[in-house]
Parts: sequence; structure tokens; C-alpha cells
Amino acid sequence: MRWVDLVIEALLRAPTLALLALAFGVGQRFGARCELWGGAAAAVAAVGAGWLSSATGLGPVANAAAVVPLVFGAAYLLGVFVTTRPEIAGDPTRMFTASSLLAVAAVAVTVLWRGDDPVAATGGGNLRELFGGPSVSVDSAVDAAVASAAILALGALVTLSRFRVRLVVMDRAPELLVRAGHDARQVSALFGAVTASAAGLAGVLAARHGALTPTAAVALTVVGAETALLGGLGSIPGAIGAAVVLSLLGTLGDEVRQGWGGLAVHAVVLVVLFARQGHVGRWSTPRWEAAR
Amino acid sequence: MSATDPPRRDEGDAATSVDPPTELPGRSGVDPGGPRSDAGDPGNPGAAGVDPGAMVGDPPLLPPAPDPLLPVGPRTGYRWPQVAAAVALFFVVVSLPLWVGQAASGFLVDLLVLVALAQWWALLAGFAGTPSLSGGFHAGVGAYLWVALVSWGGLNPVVALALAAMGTAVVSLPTGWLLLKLAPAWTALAGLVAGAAGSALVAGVDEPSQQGRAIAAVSSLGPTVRRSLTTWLAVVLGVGSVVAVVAVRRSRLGLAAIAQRDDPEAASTLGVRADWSRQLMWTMAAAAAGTAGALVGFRTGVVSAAGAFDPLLWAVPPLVAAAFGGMRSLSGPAIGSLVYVVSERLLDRPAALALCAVAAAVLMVAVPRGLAEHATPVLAARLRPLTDRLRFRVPSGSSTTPAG
Repeated sequence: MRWVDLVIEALLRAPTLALLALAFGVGQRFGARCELWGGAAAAVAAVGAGWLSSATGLGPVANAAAVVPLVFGAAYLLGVFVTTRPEIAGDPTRMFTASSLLAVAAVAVTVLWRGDDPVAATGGGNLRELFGGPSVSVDSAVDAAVASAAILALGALVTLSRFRVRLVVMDRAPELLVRAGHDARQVSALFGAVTASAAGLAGVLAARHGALTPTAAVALTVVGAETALLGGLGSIPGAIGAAVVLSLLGTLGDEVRQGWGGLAVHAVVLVVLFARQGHVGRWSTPRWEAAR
Repeated sequence: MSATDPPRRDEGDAATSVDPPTELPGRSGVDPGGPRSDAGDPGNPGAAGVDPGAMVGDPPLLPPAPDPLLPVGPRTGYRWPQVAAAVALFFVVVSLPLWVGQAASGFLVDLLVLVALAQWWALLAGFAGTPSLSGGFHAGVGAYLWVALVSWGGLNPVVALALAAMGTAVVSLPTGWLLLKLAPAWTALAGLVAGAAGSALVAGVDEPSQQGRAIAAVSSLGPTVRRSLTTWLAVVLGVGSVVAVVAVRRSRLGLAAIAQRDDPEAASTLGVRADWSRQLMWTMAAAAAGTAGALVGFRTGVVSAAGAFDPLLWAVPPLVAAAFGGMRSLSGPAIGSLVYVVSERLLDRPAALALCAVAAAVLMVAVPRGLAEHATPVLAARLRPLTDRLRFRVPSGSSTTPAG
């Protein structure tokens, strides 16, 4: 019975992981250059939610509703700031460096604000205690439903909406977007903010299963990148499948021996990378290829 | 010469045979490369600097600024005062362990280690277009190879450090072969993943490493001997890294990396083996990071899995330092490292990291070329009266006015 509970718990956590992976993968697919933003946004949002919960006593839904728009606004402003100069916006290396610097600064400022201790960071206790409920519960199911809804919304944005056309054009030929009368900088910043918000929501949901600190941004970045690499950049079914596999591996591996779960996850991702010789593009689906 | 022969350098390119202009390049509209060879060509409508599509009253187009990454042809820009200053600086740095005190020794080690890591980071990102966050992985590999050689192999710690650097370089060959095929940003993220995997592997295999494994062979050394050796090794790492980076930048490897970064298709069409140059840079950077990881283990006498592979210690500070000073110049990472280490001494680590990261991001937006690269011509112009009086010549190659 214990193993059944663990499997259910892992499956309920998978949508949150898939949402985090999509924030990485979709952002990279459409050139939002927000590779390090995801982990930082998730950790900062989680700490912010913990502080908000302890300060105001709001419930989880109100927490998420308050924190995610803040993450969106901050990421949008920072995205506009970073792309102010065309020398940076047009150079992937400088864009990566600048966005990484802002992510590092966000995490460091959060450490200054709340400290890097889990108790201090979450406002006086474990987030699970703040939000209430065991891991396998209605709360976990609600979290999975919220994450699934966010995945669907993000998927609809990048596959069905008219915004998708702008994203594809921005990624492949930004000058065409400008000629069509759109502001490529605004589109880039807006989409970066959308992916950062998705990552922030994933962070808030992940924090309900255990305390997160600001420097957990590194771990969240690693696990999000691993899931995105395993599932394929920007692939929604791939992200969900990879999240299920990695979530099961991590949960069951840790049950066998503490620490083995993470080791198994890293090993699988590295083996897959070696097997594929790093050609991540091979994971893309015909639909993506057609879009490109 | 047939019509299909490529033009010889001494026919069409006067950049190396004509004295450079007295104005700063990119400031006055004067072509820094001297007169154009196609000026006045009647068959060329764009000759003589006239743009047929330009409107009357348009400001004159500034010539493109010379790429600061390219070597400036023959090394005519350097004169004996600069060489003497460089030699003097070299001897001052390498003699530092002889006369610095205990407190300064710690500062010096921190600075030189960060200078080494930031120089290699800037070389990989600024030249090869491959930002890397694999510093944690390589530092951890170097530290644990060193631990294995010292604790289980019984080797001398200093000899083991050199072997650990070489071992890290060997380990980096397959990881570089794998990771450098990814898109640049994902190369960085995969480096983070590799570091996390290494940390989890070591913590799972070697339980004492979870809390920190003490190295008896190092602990038995006296604190004075250990501090002195650490300082010497840091000087070797820092100065050696700078010299190696300069050599790579001025070699065909550096040019190949620039070509690959700027136009991969054109570079491959011309037969430039840029993949090899990037792999070699990656390997050398890995060796430096492995040496740094082992050196810090030697300094403290304790190595833990979390600390040895921590990207916040090994990957993020070089990024911040290189971005602060400018990642496409030699002095930029050094300036950034100095600012970062001083900030860390004055403030605590998160505050220093936040301050330097915000400052570096603002500087990147305000001065996209980088602080050092932007400040050098400005500083040279300000110092021109002094340099002229002393018969110095600035690196841009401006003319010398005799004193008096």
C-alpha cells in the first residue's frame, strides 16, 4: 500500500514538474532566452508565497493569484530592460548573460530579504504545514489540476492562438515581425513574462510539498532543464511524459535509499543525452518542424 | 596573376602599412584602417565613401568600429613602456607570496582563482559564443580527483593537484564533445545538470563527503606552509590562466572561434575547424576549474560534495565578474573579479552577489561593449597629454608627438 501511495504522489507531482519544464522548453523553442529565469522565478515566487501566507494568512489559491501576476510584471519589466539595447537583444550570448545576471540578482536579493534558511524563507514553518494537508490528499489533486490547467493554457497560447504566429516569426525572422508592424521587443518580453509566470506558478505549487529556499533556484533550474531536455524542447506531450518518468524515478529511488532518486534522474537524463549525442532537435515533432 | 587569384594582402589591404589616424577609431569618421583601396574606382558606385542612397543633410555614416577581438596585425601597438610595465606587473604578482601578509594572502588567493575562472568564462562566452555554467562540475571533478590521489593514492598534494588538473581535462573531453553540440544556452544548463549529477554521485558513493571529508595529508601540514603553498599555487593558476588566454586569443584557435561565433556557415564553408577550437578552449577551461577546485580543497583541508560542485561558488561568480568588466576584453574579467572579491570582503556573499549582478546587468545595458573595452579608449584619450610627454604610445596606435 505504501508503494501505491508513493506512485500516486509521484503522479500528482508530475504536472507541476511538466509545467516547470514547459516554461523552460517553450521559452527556448521560441527564443525567449529565459533559460535561467525559470528556476529563479519559481524559487522567488515560492518564497514570496510563503511570506505572503505567513503575513496575511491567505489561502493557497489567493497566494498564487497574488504572486503569479507579480512575477509576470517583474519579468516583463526586466525583459523590456534587457532588450533595450539591440546589441544585447541580437546576441544570444549577451542575452543569456544579461538574463542570467538578473536571475542571479533576483535570487540574491531574495536571500537578503528572507535569508536562505527554509524556516525563515517560508515565514516560520514548513510550507506544507502552512498550507495544510498530507502529500497525498485532495490538496495534491488540486495542485495537479491547477498545474494541468496552466499547461493547457500555455499549450493553447503557443499552438492555437494568433500569438503563436508572432512567436514563430519572432524566433525565425524578427525583422519580418517589425515590418508587419509589431514590436519584437514587446513580444519577446511578453512571452518571457508568460514563461516566467508559468515557472513561478510551478514554484508555488512545488513549495506546498516541502520547504523551498531562494537558492533552491539552482535545483529547480536543474530539474526543469532535465525534464525539458528529456521530453523535448517545447513538446507538451514530451514534457508530461518526461515529468511522469522523472517524478516516479525520483520518488521511488528516494524510497529505496535517500539520495538515490536524484542520482537516478541525473543518470537517466545523461544517458539519454549521450544516446542522442546532444542533438536535441531530433526530439521535435513534425508539428514543430512544420511551424518552424 | 590570373583573374581568379585572390588579392594579395599588400595590394588591397593597407591596414598594416599605413600609419593609423590620430583620432580615436569610431569617433571622428576617419577610417581606422587608412585609405580604402577602392577609393575613386569609377566602376564602383559606392566608392570614395559616397553612399548613393544617402539624403542630402544626412549625417555621415561612421565607419564600423574595428573588432576588438581581432589581433591588430603585426604587434606594432606595443612599445617598450608597455612591455616594461607588463613585465614589472608580472614580477610583482609572482613575488606576492614572498611579501604579503596572512590577510592579504587570503584575498590574493580568492582574487587569483576568480580571475582565472572569469578569464576562461569570458574566453568561452565572448570568443566562442558558448556561455558555460559547468564550472561547478569541473571544479568538483578536480577536487575529488585530487582527494582520490592524495587520500587513496598517497601522492604529494601538490603533485596530485597537477595530476587532478590533467584528469579534469581528460574528463572534460567527452562532456565537451556531448555538451558543445547543444545550443549555447543549453550547453550552460547541461553543465549545471552535470554538476548536480556529480554532486549526487559523490554524495551517494562517499558518505563522509556529505558532511565534508577531511584530508589528513593536508591537515598534517602546518598552517604557514599550507598558506604559503596555496598562495604560490594560486599565483601559478591566475597568471598561467591569463597567459594561456592571451595565447589562445592571439592564435588561430581564437580566430576560428570568432569565425564560428559570428557566422558558423561561412566558417564551415571556409574549412575552419571551429569545433576543435571550442573543444580545446573547453578542455583548458575545465583544467583551470579543476585546479581551482583542488586548490580550495588544499587550502581548507576539507572537501564536501555540496561545496565542491556548488554552481553558486564556481559558476556564477565568474559569470558576474566577466559580465561586470566586459567579456570580450582581457582586462574586463580582471576588473570584475577585483570588484567582486572586494565587495565580498566588505559585504556578505549574497549582498555582494546581488550588488555585482545588478551592476553588471545595468552596465551591460548601458555599455554593451563592456566596461573595460569602453573605458580603455576614453582613458587613453584622457592620458594622451601625459603619454605624449613621456613618449608613450597608446595601444590604438596613435601618432607620437615628441615632448617639447
